[in-house]
Amino acid sequence: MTTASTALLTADRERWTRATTSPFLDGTRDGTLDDAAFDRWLEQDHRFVETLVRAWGLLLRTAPRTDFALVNGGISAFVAELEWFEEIAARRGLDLAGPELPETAAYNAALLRLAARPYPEAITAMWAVEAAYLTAWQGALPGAPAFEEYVTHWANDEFAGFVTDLSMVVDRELPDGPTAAARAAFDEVLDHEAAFWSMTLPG
Amino acid sequence: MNSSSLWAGNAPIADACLDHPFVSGLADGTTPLDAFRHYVGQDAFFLDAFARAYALCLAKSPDPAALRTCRTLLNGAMDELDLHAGYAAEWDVDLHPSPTPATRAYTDFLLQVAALEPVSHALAAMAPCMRLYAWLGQQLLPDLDPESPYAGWVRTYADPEFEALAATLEALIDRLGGDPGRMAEHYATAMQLELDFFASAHAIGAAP
Repeated sequence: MTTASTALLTADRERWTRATTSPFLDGTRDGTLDDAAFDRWLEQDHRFVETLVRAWGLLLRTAPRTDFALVNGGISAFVAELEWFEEIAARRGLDLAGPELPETAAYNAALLRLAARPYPEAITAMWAVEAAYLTAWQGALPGAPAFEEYVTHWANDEFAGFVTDLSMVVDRELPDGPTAAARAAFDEVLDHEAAFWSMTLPG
Repeated sequence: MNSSSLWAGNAPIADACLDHPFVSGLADGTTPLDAFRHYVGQDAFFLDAFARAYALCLAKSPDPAALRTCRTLLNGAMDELDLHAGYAAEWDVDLHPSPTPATRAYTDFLLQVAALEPVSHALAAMAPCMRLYAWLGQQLLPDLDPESPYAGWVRTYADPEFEALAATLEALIDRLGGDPGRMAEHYATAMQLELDFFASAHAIGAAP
């Protein structure tokens, strides 16, 4: 039988492709991305991670105790990511306290809403976020010299292992395959991912 | 309401906890084994809720510094749960017991405050567990019989690292502030629930 995570990943190939490919990502691979567009995107990604940590706090509220280590590990990793953003901000002159773009605000609102749902849907949504993000950055490997440091930061084996661990929880929580609510949560995340990649591109 | 005055205002309950035979018996080894085993199982149930309450505080943190502190405190609760897994193996304890009324009263109270009220109010409800245990460990340590089967428990909570964690929580309460009356009420409620928790473990574990 197909696992729930595989069923979700293969249900709507076009949607998955829109969520994991973008001229923005292509630009980090071939070096054509404008520095300013990348900086504006980094600022928004920081705002996103700030909310993501909170969403994972909500996830821990409903997680079974067997998943405490995994969920707490996620929280710690995202807090470390915020610290990394602060280093990058100092180096690149980013404004980490600037306003959220509408795409970021919409995604952040969805994150908190989805994380507060019953655990099977919530973990599906949180896995979708990470799975799409990992696949997107893996597609940008090895990264143009100007962006290599960033591409490899997001497309590394440890992160890939974390995404695999999450997919196993999804499969455990959805033993009979994806529910309608899990499918809706997955699709909603993918649509926000797609919008997120292109928000700072000109035009 | 400052965290040190919250603690000072509840000194009589702290003394009652220290004088309770379940607690004093941890240092001299006279706490009945069944009472301790029961306590460890109930405490694992409690810590499960305690960690979830910290997670809610993290989700609702008013600023990045508070978020990081909540993450540190959450890690501390996770470490304590791991410690209980060690106790469970050593003492043959069920770490997933049905909660007794005393345990349920405490966990329901914490989760309700964490869900419905500001972070500082939730932390005021959570502080007694940290400060009281640090204090109990420190008070019991000088008279600890090294042969007490519970010496490890006493040393864990007497450890400066646990004191530091309690102080971290209190510093965040003091920085965030909140409704002083409400915070004092939560603190006093939690202190009483701590005493009830020890008493319940002692009564059930010591029953013939």
